[in-house]
Amino acid sequence: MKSVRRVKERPTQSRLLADENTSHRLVSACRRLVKEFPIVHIAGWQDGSWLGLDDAALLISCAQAGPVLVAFDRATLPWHAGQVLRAGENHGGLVLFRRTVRSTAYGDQARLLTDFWVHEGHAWDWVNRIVYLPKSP
Amino acid sequence: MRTAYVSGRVPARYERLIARQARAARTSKSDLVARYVIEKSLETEFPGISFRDSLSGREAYLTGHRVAVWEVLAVYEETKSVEKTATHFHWSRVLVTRALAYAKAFPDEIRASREGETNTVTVAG
Repeated sequence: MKSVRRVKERPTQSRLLADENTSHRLVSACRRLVKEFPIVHIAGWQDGSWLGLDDAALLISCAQAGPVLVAFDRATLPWHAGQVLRAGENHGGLVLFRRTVRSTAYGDQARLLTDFWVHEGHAWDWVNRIVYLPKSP
Repeated sequence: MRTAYVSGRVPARYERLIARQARAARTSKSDLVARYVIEKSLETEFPGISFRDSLSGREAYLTGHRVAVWEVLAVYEETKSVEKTATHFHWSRVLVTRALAYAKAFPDEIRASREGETNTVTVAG
């Protein structure tokens, strides 16, 4: 008999990993805009085991496992991305919401992210790339 | 800021460990011990709060999570509600109240962390 493994999310289909400083509501809002939008919240990824990772470990883990990290811009995260590169490692890419985007503006965040991903981001090579949303004019 | 003197004896192996860690952190042994005393006493006083490195120095965050205290405060300032802040993070209320209690006790430190993280020029665009 085949064993049935219960999973809450479908991590192999997800290309975007929402960091813990984003809300689950961003994930829901993205999926309301684009059905099956390939984003998973970090709390639902790998049984939540990545919640305890520091920035550098998370960035390296993303490079190894594939997802692009989506987070609010705080200076330390891109700084750690630079440190990862200087140490000879790769990171899996970062999409950062600029500081003008409010933490609780889930609809705005979802529109920015889905629009960017559907029209551009999905086709890019994300290794060691950082993009800020909204993008510069 | 007024300072006071604290001393204590430890087994020699811990002295060697701290000396090695101080060299790695490019700081003095006494400064590192002072930091350990301060942070451990605060972690005991405020359960659920830990400290980590950030661009602006040491930063208080929620133990076992990736969210800094200033980030919880920022969301709370938007939602004006512990309940809504807990919902935002998908957390129990107690994590939010712990973060807010720390932020209330150390407003200058939290403000400095927040400014250090949000007033820095972005690295790419």
